[in-house]
Amino acid sequence: MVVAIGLEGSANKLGVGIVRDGEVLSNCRRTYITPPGQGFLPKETAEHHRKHIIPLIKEALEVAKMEPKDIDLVCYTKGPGMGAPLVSVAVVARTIAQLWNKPIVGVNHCIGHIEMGRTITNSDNPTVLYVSGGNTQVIAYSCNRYRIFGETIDIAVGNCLDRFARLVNLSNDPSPGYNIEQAAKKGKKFLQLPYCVKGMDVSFSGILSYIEEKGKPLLKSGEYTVEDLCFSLQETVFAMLVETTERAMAHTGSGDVLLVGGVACNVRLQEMMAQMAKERGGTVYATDERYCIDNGAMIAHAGALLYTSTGKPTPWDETFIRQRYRTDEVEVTWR
Amino acid sequence: MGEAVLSYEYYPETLHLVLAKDVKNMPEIKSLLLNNKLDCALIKPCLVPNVFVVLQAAYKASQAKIKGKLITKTIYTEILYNLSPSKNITQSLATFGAQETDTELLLAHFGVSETLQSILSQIQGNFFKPTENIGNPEQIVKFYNIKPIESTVTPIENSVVSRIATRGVV
Amino acid sequence: MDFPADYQLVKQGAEAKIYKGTFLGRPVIVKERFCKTYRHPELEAMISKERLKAEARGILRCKALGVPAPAVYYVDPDSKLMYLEEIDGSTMKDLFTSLLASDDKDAPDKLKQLSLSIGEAVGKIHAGHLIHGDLTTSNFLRHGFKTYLIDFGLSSVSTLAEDKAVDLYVLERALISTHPGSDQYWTHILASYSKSYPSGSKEVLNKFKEVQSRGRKRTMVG
Repeated sequence: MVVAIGLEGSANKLGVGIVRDGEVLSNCRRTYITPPGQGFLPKETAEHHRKHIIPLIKEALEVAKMEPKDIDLVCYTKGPGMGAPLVSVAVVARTIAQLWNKPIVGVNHCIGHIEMGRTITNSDNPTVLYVSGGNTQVIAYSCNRYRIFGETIDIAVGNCLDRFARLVNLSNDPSPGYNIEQAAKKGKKFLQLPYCVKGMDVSFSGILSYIEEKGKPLLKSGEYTVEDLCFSLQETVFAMLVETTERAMAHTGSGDVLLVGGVACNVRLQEMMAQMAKERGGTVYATDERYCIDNGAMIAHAGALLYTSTGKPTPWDETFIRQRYRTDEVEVTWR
Repeated sequence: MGEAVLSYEYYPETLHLVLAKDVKNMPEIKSLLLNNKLDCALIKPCLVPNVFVVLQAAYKASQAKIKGKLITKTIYTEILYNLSPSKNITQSLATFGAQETDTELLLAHFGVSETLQSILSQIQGNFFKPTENIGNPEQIVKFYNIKPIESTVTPIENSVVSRIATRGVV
Repeated sequence: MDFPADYQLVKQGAEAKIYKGTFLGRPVIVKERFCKTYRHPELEAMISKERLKAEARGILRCKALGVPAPAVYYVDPDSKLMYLEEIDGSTMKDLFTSLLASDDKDAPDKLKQLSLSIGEAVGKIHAGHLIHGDLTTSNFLRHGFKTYLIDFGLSSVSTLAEDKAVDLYVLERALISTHPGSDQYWTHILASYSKSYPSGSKEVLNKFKEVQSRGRKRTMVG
């Protein structure tokens, strides 16, 4: 039995979680929220993480009713993500590993999402749609790798939503995506937006420039409301995501879908995906905001899987960070 | 007479095809046709690669009729129009319909053998069952604008068939 | 759709059901695009119309450019049906899968030949500014010594090197994700691509490198 603590800080969320064999004992989080119309920048985000990480580790230990001596393994996010925030967390992970004299494991953030999702939902071999602020990938497992079948050829879907929110001045609290989702519920009038699917890949940048050029005047003239645009945006980008996921499923012959990443919390996306899966005789697995949003437990869980399958921690001189760490680079030793 | 007819069951009717050669009374036939006294299509055979193309054009016409979507006046003019790469109806009918100076024609009729016989009885000529190859490949290639490079990968009739099928869609 | 009794469902793809049957006495494949209920009705109507059109156009243009594609026998836009010539061949996906797994000493050479034919087909359509839009090994059919292209629903016409580069990028990624161990054959694909598209392949390949590095350099935050 391995008790692992996981430290995550690849973007604007800082998370610390403690996991024992897939059982989540604690999963604490702090989010760096920026004013409306602004995105988060590396320097300020890293400052936020540095300020909160020690109290957050203490909180996670308290919630789990544990002390450092009960921990067997320290896990941290090696990448992908923003450099400065990643470093701010990795430094702490290395420090506590030495301080407490525990083995350390660097974890791929995307693999963390996938493995946590598989465990929480009990899905064995799903096609995975990983959608977040920085990633948009359709992933399926084969020959010891999570292989990327489809992805965005320009910006990530979460990034598209964030930038859209900035264009129409929606609040970043609690998150731009959440506010778009709420506003979309009140939208009625559908605006045709560029729908761009290339094989199993998608492209979102055209939508943003379209909104900027055509959407803003339509708002000004009162022909469409912000709610209508939110609604049209969601219907369009999610349809693209569901379509490419379905293409990958048809290609690999798998029936189930697992939704992970921050954007996967969106209920409309879950509904659309469920409808598609139902027509194919499959099931959609989705997690709630505790797990689909970046968190520490997923890093602890994936790190523990890697550690128990190989029996080896990450060598000390490899406990650095990597801003661009692709999902398909990791050899999956635990499946 | 029966052996000179190629029949194909279409829902809800049967299509009959007959190839007529050495026709002696074309002007008379033409005038009957123009006065709606001949219930058939008279196709100029030289531009038709084979039977399948006519079957296809007729199928498309019969589907359009069922759906109430005929573009031309009758199912027979629709067959001629379907065969043509042009969107101009008058021009299509003139190009694909047999003309007074012609001595050959490909007759298409939806109906039963009795109705077909009464049509054939008004044509003075020799009747043959249409075979696989009918038209003149050089004329067809030119008319449908099929470039040599296309002919290297696909038979001429397939090129024609694809053009007919996708017309109105693309 | 109710088909005659001799029609058999052979495949349920992502956006169409594929049936085998006969049409006016010929063996055919019928592609029935089905409604995506998850999509907004307006969006669905626009997409399904566009794709049926793109498919018809793509096939015609592909053949005109000297790359084999199945003949179209009949299109029914109302029921979103397309009747196509049945090509009695194997998909490149199946051929690659079995050849990559085989110990046959000729397998690498066969794979090379197949790769060259893929590159040639893509080079020819790009030379004629046809973008396939969904290049995967499933969408190439090998029949004798001919390589057919199928599934033109996402096709478009563009003279932009960028669009051609993305087309290649989609193919490269499909090859790598579907066929682990096929990396070496990509060079053969590119070589014959350049050969069959002498006038513009250089510019496309430069763009292709740009598209590739855009993928790798993209920040992956969150």
